[in-house]
Amino acid sequence: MVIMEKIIIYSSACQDCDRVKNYLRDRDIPFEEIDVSKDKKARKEMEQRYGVHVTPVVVVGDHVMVGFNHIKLDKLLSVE
Amino acid sequence: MMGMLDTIIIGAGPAGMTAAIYAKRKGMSLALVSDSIGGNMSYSGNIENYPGFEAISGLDLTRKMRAQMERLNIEPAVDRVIGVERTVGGYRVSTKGGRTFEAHTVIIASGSHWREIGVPGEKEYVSKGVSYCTTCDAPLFAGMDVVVVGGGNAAAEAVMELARICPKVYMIVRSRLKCDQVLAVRITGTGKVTVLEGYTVERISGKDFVESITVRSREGKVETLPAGGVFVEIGQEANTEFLKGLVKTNDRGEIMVDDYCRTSLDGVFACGDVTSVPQKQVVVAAGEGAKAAMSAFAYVSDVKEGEAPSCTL
Repeated sequence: MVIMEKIIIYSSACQDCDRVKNYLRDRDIPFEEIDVSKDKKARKEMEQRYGVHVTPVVVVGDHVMVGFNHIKLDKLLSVE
Repeated sequence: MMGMLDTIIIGAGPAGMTAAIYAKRKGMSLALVSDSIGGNMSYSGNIENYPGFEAISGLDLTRKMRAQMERLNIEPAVDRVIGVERTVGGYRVSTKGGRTFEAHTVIIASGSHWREIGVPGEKEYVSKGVSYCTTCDAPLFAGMDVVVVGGGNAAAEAVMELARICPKVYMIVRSRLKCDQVLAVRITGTGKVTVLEGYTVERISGKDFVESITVRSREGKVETLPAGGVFVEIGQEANTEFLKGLVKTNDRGEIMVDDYCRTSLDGVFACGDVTSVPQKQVVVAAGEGAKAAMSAFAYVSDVKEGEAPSCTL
């Protein structure tokens, strides 16, 4: 799987955050992680941009997934 | 569609995965259909009462069970079941993804989901301050005043977790605290928790995110508490909507089963949190999964030998 878009994960110490990261690591897909439980500015940015107060928020280019659903993530990653 | 299978297992939490392992080891042909792996177990922060593990996270225990299934060549069909219907000689299970499976038996292990309060504002603020999983979402609420709704052990544990990172925690309890005394003592000891017994939730309010919760006392006194988060910990509801009344349920909507995990319908078995078995524990679910698989095996053996198995419920 070749992913052209940058992947950003807004995360905290949550179970679904682990699931998303493990999913990507298992497939050798690089991603940038922003821990919003430690970075208040990033948390505000996440809330304003995506309208949610929950993690994980996975951003792939223009596409956004809240939570972990590997069927949705498969689709997101096959958009390219 | 695959040919006629021995069993279709719906759900891949500890009950469903154990049923799959037992069924496979019995030589049964099977499909394991679930839209997620691990069920509610995978959301448990730390499991300290599953024999063989002094302490293990729900996610790690899920991984271990899945690895055991993989060694037995059990590959879950990741899909949501939307219907179960009776056919000549068995059952047909259909999924949201358009797949169908047919088998002599069905093992329902579809688990449960978090119960909602059912008040204005609750649905609107899911992912915007309303949470049903403290273990998952608590870290995001550090530094904020929060509310926990519920008075049982799960609610008390949520309060303890939040009190570590939040300045003020309100606990809204409809009647009185029902958690273990040891937890009640710990809650008091934090010095951060206000327990409001005899209160119900009226509504959850805010702008873009939750800002307050309005509660009403038994005597009719209405109060609005400022809070950035509302954690709902008022129990579980069985996942049975796809069955559309196919099997008997109790007044809580749980599938009634006998000692052999048999339901009211021949060839349909159930196990785990979806059933009337009162103990909602990982180890109990796993044990019930094993029982259901063994009962299904006995049923299929009878069918193949031309005998007519009967149901006792």
